[in-house]
Amino acid sequence: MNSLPSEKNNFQKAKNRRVHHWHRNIGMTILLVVCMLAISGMALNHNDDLMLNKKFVKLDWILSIYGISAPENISTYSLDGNWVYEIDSTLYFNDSKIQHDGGGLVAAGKFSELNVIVLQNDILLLNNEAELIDKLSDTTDALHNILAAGIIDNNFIIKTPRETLQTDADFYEWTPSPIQSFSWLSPQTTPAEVRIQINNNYRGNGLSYERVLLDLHSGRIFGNAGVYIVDLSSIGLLVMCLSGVLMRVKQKGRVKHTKNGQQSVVDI
Amino acid sequence: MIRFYFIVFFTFCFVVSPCVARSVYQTPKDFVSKAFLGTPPAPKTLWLTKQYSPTVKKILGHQYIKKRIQYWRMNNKSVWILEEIGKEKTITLGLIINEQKIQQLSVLIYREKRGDEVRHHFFTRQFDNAKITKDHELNRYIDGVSGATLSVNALKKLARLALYLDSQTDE
Repeated sequence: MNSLPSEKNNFQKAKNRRVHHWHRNIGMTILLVVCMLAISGMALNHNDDLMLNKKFVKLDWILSIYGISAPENISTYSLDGNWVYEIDSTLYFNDSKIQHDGGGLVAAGKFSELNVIVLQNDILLLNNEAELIDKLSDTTDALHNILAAGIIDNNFIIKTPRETLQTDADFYEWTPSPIQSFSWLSPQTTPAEVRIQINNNYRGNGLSYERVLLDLHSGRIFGNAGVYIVDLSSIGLLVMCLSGVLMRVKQKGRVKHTKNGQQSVVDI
Repeated sequence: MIRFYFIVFFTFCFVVSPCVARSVYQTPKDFVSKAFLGTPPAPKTLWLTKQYSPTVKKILGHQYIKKRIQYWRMNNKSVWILEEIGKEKTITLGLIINEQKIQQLSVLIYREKRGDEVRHHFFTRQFDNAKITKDHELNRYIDGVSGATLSVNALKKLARLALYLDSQTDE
């Protein structure tokens, strides 16, 4: 038995309303995620202009999402108000990174108005502006596998596996040291303000804004759940595209062209 | 068995060798000693003060890595141990300047993973007798080495720097 035209129309109307309803609800549900995708996508498109890979995140709450925090056991040396420390093989003099290839930090101390940083295979002399005055391994072959360093009686002394050596005030000549016992330079307790400095230096170069935006764009910043939410939102966006097209097609069917060229919507 | 030794040899050449980050071909002390036939004079110090900064920056493209340079001089001969970054790591050079010309340029320590061809004599001999012009350029063209462009550039810069510093400390 064929259905009546009025029943068919009612069914069609209900169907259209359902499409509208779903289109609207999906749109409202994924609104925030789509905005996030659009904004992060645009920012990533202009990554080079915005230099996002060279700007680093310093916001604690973002860094804590990534679980980034400086190691607890860092050896710090005080040099008359300046601090020397090493984080993950990167040497710092206060806030300045010191480039070197002399191995790990052994000790540091103030001697002859110079900041002396003793590394396993090198000794760096810095001024208070963190400028490198000299690097002693260039001209002194004895500076290898340094185990410890100390200052006593106007002598700077280093200990290697073979011998104990001392130098003059200019750090040019190294001769075997007759001094037998003294205390070696050792790390100091890290004050709270230096700890903050260390945290900032460690975090400051660890996470770029590009990384954060990429993770935000993919949803990974919120873990696996975030990825699934972005997936579902993408599917929702696709559904909205289809429902939008469907509604447009239906609407076109209802448009009646009048003689004078105007359009009017005809309710079927 | 011979095949096995071949495999071991080529594995070493192609896998292990490039991973050796720091190659000391000659110690600076040995270089200085040989430059003065075993009896080097007492070292002298050159402080790179503001007087030298503009020219040093022009030659290197940046300030020298250190503020204090140790050198050795006897009559018209001076010996310099200088460093410059090739691609990522520093290359240590020994230079003998005699009568304001390069007598010898040697790569003493090479720390980069690739490009150590610049240490060979076929390349370094190009610098022999090179002088510096008024514009602080070398007075001759130095052929490059394929795959070691940055190291070649570093050597050329240090050659110019050594000639400049020699001219500034000439007695």
